[in-house]
Amino acid sequence: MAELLSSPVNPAFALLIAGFLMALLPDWRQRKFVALAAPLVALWLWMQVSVFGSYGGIHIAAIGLDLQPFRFDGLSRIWALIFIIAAFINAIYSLHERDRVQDAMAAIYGGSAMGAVFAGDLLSLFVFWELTAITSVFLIWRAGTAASRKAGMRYLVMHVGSGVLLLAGAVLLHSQTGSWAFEHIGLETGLAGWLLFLGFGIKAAFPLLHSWLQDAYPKATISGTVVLSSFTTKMAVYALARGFAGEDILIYIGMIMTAFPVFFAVIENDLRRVLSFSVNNQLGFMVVGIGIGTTLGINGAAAHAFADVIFKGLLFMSVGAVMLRTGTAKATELGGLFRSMPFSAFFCLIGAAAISAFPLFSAFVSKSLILAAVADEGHWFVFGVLIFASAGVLEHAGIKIPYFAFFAHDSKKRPKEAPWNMLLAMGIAAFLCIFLGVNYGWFYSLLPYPVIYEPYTFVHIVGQMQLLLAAIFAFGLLIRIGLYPPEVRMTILDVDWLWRKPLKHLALWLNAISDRLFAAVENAIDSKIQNAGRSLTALLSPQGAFARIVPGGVLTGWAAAFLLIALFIAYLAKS
Amino acid sequence: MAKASKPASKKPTADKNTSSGGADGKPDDGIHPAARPFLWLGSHGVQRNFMWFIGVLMVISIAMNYIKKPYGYFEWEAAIGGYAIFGFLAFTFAVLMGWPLRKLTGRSEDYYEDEGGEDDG
Repeated sequence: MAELLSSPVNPAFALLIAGFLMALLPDWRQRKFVALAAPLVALWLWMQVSVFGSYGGIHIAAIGLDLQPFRFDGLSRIWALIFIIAAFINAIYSLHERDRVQDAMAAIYGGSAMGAVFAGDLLSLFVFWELTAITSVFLIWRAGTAASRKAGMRYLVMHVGSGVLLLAGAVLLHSQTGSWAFEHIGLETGLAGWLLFLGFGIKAAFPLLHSWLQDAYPKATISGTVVLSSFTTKMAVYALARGFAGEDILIYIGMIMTAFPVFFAVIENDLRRVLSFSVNNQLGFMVVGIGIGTTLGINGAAAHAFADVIFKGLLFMSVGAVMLRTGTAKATELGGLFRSMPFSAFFCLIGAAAISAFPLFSAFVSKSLILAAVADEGHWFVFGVLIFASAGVLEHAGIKIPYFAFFAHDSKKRPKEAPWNMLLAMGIAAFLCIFLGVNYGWFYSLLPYPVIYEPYTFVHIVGQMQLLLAAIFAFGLLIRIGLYPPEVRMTILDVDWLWRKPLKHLALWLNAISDRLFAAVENAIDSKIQNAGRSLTALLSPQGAFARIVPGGVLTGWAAAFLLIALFIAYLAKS
Repeated sequence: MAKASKPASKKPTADKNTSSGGADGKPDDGIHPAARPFLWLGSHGVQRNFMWFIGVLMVISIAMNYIKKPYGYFEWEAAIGGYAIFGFLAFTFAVLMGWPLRKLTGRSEDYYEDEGGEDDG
């Protein structure tokens, strides 16, 4: 008992309990206090764990169940910390909101993501995995629009489906190995491994499975989008790092993930959707690092996930501030907002510099680790695509977001600056973007493995500056000569078109056809039954044929005939 | 005789999300005080010519390759201005591909209207 009490407590519980508590608290001030306090308590619990290990395990010998809900090691440690930081910043960002459902769901969602990261067995992982899906969808639905309701349903189908695949894979794996442990899985485990891989891949927004992200995130509430960008995809990246590190296929999946969103983001008008494509792009870098699978690659993926939560959150926050004040995130309706929202513009520029990997900013360090890992393994083509994608990131997240929202043509909109709490949240995130880029030694100390890599060499800095400056120069030139595609209000189709249009219509058509078919069969059966009924009625009813008075001779004749037949059959049987 | 009551003031109320009037009585242009020193960033000339400033910086960064010869894992990384050429071409390619991609995938804004449209949400 004493051992149990002195055992470290899972920091995820702080957020989970806070979430359930907030659901019961009607007073918004109390809820906000809990929302701010919970990440601090989680951080304190996180700091109490000094030794790597698995704590609070539950073993039920009768059914051979061994649950490890709190595994604290190098990999889970860094992911948990960034989730705690994100929960705290997000709580500040949404201080002005008075939505009990969102407050509660955001906390439970963050706690579930952390719980998944600490899960040492596949069953615990499954529970938290599904809990993230169920809670996060409320952040989409609370936007209250018809589009958000439908997008939320599509999101839920994909994410619950991901959990089902996870569970199926876990059960299959258990039948093969006799263990529920969540360790390296690998695709060599066959169907079980593939099911788990696909389950993780849906949440990591693998190509062709990615559209839920661009579909749902831009339709969520303003703070909901910020919260969503922090947890789900990074949790999936963690799961891949834990279960499938070193799988070559991830290198190529990640490579595609970095490249294809670049093209879509160029022509997208909704800035929150642009950032959603950017989420995909940055996830690609992490997935490549995991696919490389060396200690440098895994460190790179972990570092980039950590940095991404902050700079991507910052960009979503700045666009959210614009949306709060102007009511839109459409590039066509924005521009010149730096005049009235200078602090939001400044923080947005810091986020843009961080995601673009300018020296002294966080991604310069984290992305370099991944690129070095790729180059070390001699993947020259993948390396080239990642450099291309780095220029692409600059285009859509580094330039497009701040330029079209805060600069470009003057939209004549003069909204108020964002509320103080939003500015504070953005300020903390901006500080961290620079802090991680400058104090990279501290950043390295959080990574799962020891790091021997110096990002700030003369040649590296010059090379990166060349890449970025040349790309910005190209932007200016293309704008000047009119070759940059102008922002246009339109819908850009993605892979989800397949099930939102043709498959939907096919389903509706099949439904209509089956309705008609069933109706026709039903009518046919009904008419047969009615005919039979009529015949029987005609035969047996009081007015029927059997009831009619017939001459006695006819009946005698029938009786004699039946008797003869019976005698004949009896004779045959006897002989 | 009872005074005729004054009609209610028709003074427009400021949108709660837009800047309120200046305290000094001057007409409010909605500019944030912290932004005033940077208003030149919004001028057409600055925005149009900003690229030349970046261009000069780019040339300087390329010239730095002569101070210390670049090196890298792959051959093109060791070329003078290799990253600048790659960055320029990559960016231009990504942007120019937007034209055919928009033709291919662009639809009217109410394309998904049957499900409530793609509104700001």
